[in-house]
Amino acid sequence: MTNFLKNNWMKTVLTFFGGTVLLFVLMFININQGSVDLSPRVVWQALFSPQDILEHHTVRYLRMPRVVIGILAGGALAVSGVILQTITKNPLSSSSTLGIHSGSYFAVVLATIFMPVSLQLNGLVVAFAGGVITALLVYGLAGAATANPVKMVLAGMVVTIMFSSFTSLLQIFYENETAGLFLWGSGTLVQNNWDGVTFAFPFISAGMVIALILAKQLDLFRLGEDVASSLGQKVGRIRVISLLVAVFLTAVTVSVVGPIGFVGLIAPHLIKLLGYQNHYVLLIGSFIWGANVLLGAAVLARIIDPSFSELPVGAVTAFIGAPWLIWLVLRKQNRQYGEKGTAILAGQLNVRLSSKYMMGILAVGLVILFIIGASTGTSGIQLQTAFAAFFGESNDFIRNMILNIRLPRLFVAACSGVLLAVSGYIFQGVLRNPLADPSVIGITSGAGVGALLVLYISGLSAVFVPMGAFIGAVIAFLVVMGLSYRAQFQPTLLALLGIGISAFGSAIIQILVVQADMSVASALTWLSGTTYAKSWDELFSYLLWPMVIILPILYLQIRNIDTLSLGDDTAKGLGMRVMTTRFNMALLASLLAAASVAAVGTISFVGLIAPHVSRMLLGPSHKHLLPTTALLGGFFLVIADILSRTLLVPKEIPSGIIVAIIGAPYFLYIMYRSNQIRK
Amino acid sequence: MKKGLLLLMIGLFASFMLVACGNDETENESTENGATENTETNTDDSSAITVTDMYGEQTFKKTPERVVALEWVYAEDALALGVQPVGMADVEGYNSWVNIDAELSDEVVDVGTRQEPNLEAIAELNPDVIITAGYRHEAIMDSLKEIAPTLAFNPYPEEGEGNQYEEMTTTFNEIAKLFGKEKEAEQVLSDLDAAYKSVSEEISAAGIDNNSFVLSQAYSSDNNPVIRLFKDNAMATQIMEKIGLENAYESEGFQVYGFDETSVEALQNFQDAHFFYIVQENDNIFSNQLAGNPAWEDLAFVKEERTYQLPGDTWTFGGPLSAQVFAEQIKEALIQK
Repeated sequence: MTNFLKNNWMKTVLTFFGGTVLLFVLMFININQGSVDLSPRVVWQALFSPQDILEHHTVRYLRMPRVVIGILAGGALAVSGVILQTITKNPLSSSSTLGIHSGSYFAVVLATIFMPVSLQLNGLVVAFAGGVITALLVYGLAGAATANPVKMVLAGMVVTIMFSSFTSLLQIFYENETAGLFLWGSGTLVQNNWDGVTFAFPFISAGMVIALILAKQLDLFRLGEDVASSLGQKVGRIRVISLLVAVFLTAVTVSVVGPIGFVGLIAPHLIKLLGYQNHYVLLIGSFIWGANVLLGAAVLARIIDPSFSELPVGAVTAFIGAPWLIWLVLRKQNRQYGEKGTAILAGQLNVRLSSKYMMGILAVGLVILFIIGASTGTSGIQLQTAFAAFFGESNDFIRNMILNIRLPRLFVAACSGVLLAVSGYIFQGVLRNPLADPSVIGITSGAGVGALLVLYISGLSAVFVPMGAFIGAVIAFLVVMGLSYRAQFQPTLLALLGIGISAFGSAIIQILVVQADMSVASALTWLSGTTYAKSWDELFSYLLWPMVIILPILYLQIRNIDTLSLGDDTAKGLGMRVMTTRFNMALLASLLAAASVAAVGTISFVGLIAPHVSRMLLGPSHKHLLPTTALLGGFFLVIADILSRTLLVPKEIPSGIIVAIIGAPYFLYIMYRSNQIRK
Repeated sequence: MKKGLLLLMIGLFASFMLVACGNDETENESTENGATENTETNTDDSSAITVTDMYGEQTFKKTPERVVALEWVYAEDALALGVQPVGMADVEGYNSWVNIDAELSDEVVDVGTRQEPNLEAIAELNPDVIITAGYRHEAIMDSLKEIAPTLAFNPYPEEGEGNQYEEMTTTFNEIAKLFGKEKEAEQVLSDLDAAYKSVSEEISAAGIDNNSFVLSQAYSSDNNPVIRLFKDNAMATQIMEKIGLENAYESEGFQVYGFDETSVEALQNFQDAHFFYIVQENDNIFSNQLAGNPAWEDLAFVKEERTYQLPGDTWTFGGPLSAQVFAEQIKEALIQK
């Protein structure tokens, strides 16, 4: 007993006193970092006996605000994380994992372009509105209070992809207006006076006070809603108020320093790991350690890159935070995330009339799309002209245009769509995870890292980017598989690991993009996934061999998927070497995805949605599911390609963005429907 | 079974690499096509024009007439030589950023964004030549060459490959060669030198003896001022040196675009200089965010009123005509204070 008390006392001292001391140390280091060399003595004098000289002003008006805003932002994000984790009963909640950051940020970017605001308060209102809408969206879609953690994080990730697509769309079209937003898009603590602090301080203090007032109720909340309401708590109201407080704290930080991920995830867990459960302690402790994490990241960022063209602190926190997320997932694998309840069954359409002819209909549809696509160009649909040029008159010009510009794009789109869809189908089957998709598993993000490394580190020409993407994708796949090997590729675990790897990859991408000066614009358009200017080369180099070699192998092995879907034990009983089969099939599927990424960049959602749609059309266990899925995938990307080059002629919209803008809401709708079905 | 699969994978990967490396053939084929098209409308060999771009020499049998420019600076170069392009990327952006005397005709067709120009729109114009910046379009060079012979230049030379100003004049002269307008180019460049000379004389006549300067471009990024300081390899800096000023800004490392992004803190080191800044009228960080901040107000050049605002559309990445405009703008700012 005394031992316990002693430990407890030590722990408290370390958490609060130690945390505060560390905070002061980090503060002092950070104040000493800057583009002008000032001796620690000058810094000390500036703080405690300031004179009216430039050096002291530098410390007092440039560096101090930066440190203070770091503490406020880190603390606020951590507190927001604590609240979100409690009310969603989800250890993986934080404003970044739930998509609140991307929603707020998108709102701010939108406002910057269409109604430029100079008042910071407007920025806050906009960010807050964006955050609230996103939070409600994710919370509602994941099934509100009944949501399981994985589902909520997945919904958060899909919403994040969706809003980032919207944001990149704006960035592509308003290059000059948003030029300054990119760095900020990954969070930066740079301050040039006390305005940011004076603006944020009252809001963050108010949020903190309300959070502390709510602490008692939050304690009860942890016991479960039934217990809480039987103790006389108004559960619904508390949940709404706490959610608003959490989003508000996030919005304040977004409007002052931009989106900074993962602080809200790491800091609360540090405190929880020490064994604290009481919310007073959790909130205050997290505030201190959140500040430490963010300031630590800021110090680190400046050590890595001492020049001022500075590394965004948000990327650094994601860089540190993503492995943390992975570790957290691996540690909790068996306790928290059961296999049940993550399934999203699309159900089935009532109209099943056509299921027999579905493939025929799709094939004919695809041919029609090709004809439309081939005759649609900058001057609209010219069916007759195209037809005449191709079969009758010798209009070489139009024929050339069709043969060398439109058709290769259409074929590349169709083949990439097929590969992605089949890849998604296989992943969903062998991993028995209806949410599996090349991008969910982290393959596309790995490809992005590979591609940028080729551009940035190796100095090779842009022609080798696809090669880098291919290798990066395969490596990311092997890492995810390696990490989940011990858990036997348990589906939910895999999805969460994929999210972790994706976030890690995105952090690396952000750091590289900020560091690399050249080719950034072209890399960004490539990353958003594009069928722009694809020629026959891409088709023959990257897409044809998987179409000809891997697809048939997979088709012959398709029985394995049916067997795997009976469950591991049954499959073993039937004499299958489950792990080997699973790994081999997944490897083939990842090669398909990698080939597609190499050709067209990172296009999400096709692999996720095509299998669901085909299941919806044919029923869950139809023998033609695979070919139908493949056709659907081709169908989707061909439509995206046609839209991408005709919607805003002469401007192009990357097809990946079109797929995400259409696909993400559809995916969320599937999620929503699956909640309705279960209820 | 497992081993077989592994072997298969290795085989696949190898063939993939082979195919990926085998692209060159198609590339050659397409350039040949482009070349044969030119021979059809051939004049005699003595009039053949050889132009050097970042990939090497290219020969044109005949002076091209229909030009598509995918980067603003090359449209400006053509205009300076009296050639109207038939198409260019982002006309709207050009009109709001580049303000030279030579007007861009209303008939010039917009072919999309500078980053992803619309290949069909370009092809429809049936150009004789496409001129672009290589760093943007390396990946689609083959497709562009299939449409028309394409010249790619690199406006931002790497470390040790000369500065942006030298590159600008070299490219300008190459483009002049292409159009058979060497004389005009010579005239433009000598006019430019004359302009530098008279600007420089006016500056010294105005009794400005301190010739050191810092040039910056500033904007706010979520209310936080970001200040770009131009380095020696930047075109703008070179132009200012040509009118007798001297860049005070020094920093470590090479920056290919020619500027560092920094904060107001870095300005302390250059307080004796004249401070020029380019800001948008509605985003003037010096009168919005930094006004009243002692770390800005106490800088010597602020106290002694040696700060000069340049118009928001001051274009520091242009050709010879933009260079002349820029030199004049600097003079105006410096003298009218």
